[in-house]
Amino acid sequence: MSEIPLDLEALHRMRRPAWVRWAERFLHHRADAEEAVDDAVEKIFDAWDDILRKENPQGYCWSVVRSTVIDHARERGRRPTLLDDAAFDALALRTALDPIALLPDVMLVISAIENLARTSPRQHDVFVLRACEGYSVARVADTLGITHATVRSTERHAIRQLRAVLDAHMREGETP
Amino acid sequence: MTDPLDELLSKARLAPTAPYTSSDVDAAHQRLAARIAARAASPAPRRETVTRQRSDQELHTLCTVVVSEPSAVEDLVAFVSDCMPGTAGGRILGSILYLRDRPESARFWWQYAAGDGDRAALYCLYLHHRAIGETGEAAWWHEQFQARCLPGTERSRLPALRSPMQRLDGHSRQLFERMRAVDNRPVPIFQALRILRSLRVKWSLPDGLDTVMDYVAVAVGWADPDLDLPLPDWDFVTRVKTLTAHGTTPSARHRTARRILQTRSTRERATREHAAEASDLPASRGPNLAPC
Repeated sequence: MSEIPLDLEALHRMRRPAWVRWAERFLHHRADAEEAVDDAVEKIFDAWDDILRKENPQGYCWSVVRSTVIDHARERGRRPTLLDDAAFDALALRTALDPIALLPDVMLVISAIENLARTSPRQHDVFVLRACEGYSVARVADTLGITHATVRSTERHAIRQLRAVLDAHMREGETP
Repeated sequence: MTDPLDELLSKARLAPTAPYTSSDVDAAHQRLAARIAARAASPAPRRETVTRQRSDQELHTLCTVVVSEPSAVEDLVAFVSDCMPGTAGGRILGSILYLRDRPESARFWWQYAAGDGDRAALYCLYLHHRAIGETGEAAWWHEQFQARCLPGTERSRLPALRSPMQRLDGHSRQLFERMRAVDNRPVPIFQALRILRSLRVKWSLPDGLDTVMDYVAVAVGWADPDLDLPLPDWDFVTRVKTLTAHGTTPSARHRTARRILQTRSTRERATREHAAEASDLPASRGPNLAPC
């Protein structure tokens, strides 16, 4: 196959902005993010006929993008986490009168989100896209290739997990 | 007054990145088209693509061998029934799901078996990540696999070499016999897979396993976002036993399988309709686990 099929072109055009923004959070630079997503799309192109036969092609494409971004982060000697740089992109820091005082809270929340990635990658991805990026339920569903109902229930479960972790941390802080 | 935890979670909101415009998308598409055209002009396949294709083929072979073991169905039933499931069933369940194109679910069950040091599961994970280009993860699983192959202990023996030889065609059987006559030592797993692939060994699955595999592929699903587990239906054990009942002819097994799948499809449709009426309720599904 030497030309991009029309259906892949359509998917690429629709999803690329979200994919690049995701990659940028982990790779920090737009150029690096573009390169990672270019590589991911090339892998998708190579496997396109097989992907179309899968039960969830969009979900599979998301997993290719996600893992390629992680590989690129590792190749650059970076940890593939939000914590390294994205914490400093927190909106609250940009609008706070005293951002330094707020930084520990922001780092704590981002760290809790990182832990979520280890136990449930799906909860992590849904929460990052909804709460960190501010995507609508519909946009998250399209990006990840899951239903709206799954986005809502997964987000609820993610929030429950995060609240439990943060609550435990806050109680530890209260213990003399 | 705002819940302090909600306030803390709200601090996760990140400032938006620079806009990604339609011009950016057009430029990306042109880059992609140029890359693909450049590759088409060069006849040699990319090394990475060849490696991934080979890994996928080897994984397919390994899974076929795993599910062809004489005790595969028995181990699978025992796995789902036991209070403390062992690793053999996890390896088999993962391999069935992979052969039926459920790689995410397969990966979960291989990880379960690998967590207890099952070498076949560790190798499946290595091949799986290699096949999808996740080189970092593949390397990690390979290290775990090698750590299980300590010096002085028996190296990983592919189950194929214990399986009845009558499932190989005549040519492949002769080759294996000649190999064994020359060197009777256990064959390293990667070598065995390459041999099997080069021989284009044609495995015929044991009678009845095809229908069981078709059923397993639809009977294992993501039950609950809280658990993130691909779990079998509550009546999985009963259904598998029905499908593998002794003395049942292949045509009877196919009729039974069709009936089971139709019943399941009707039940799923009813569940979806119910879920649509109360859209926030998760579907209920769980393993057939006896109380411990």
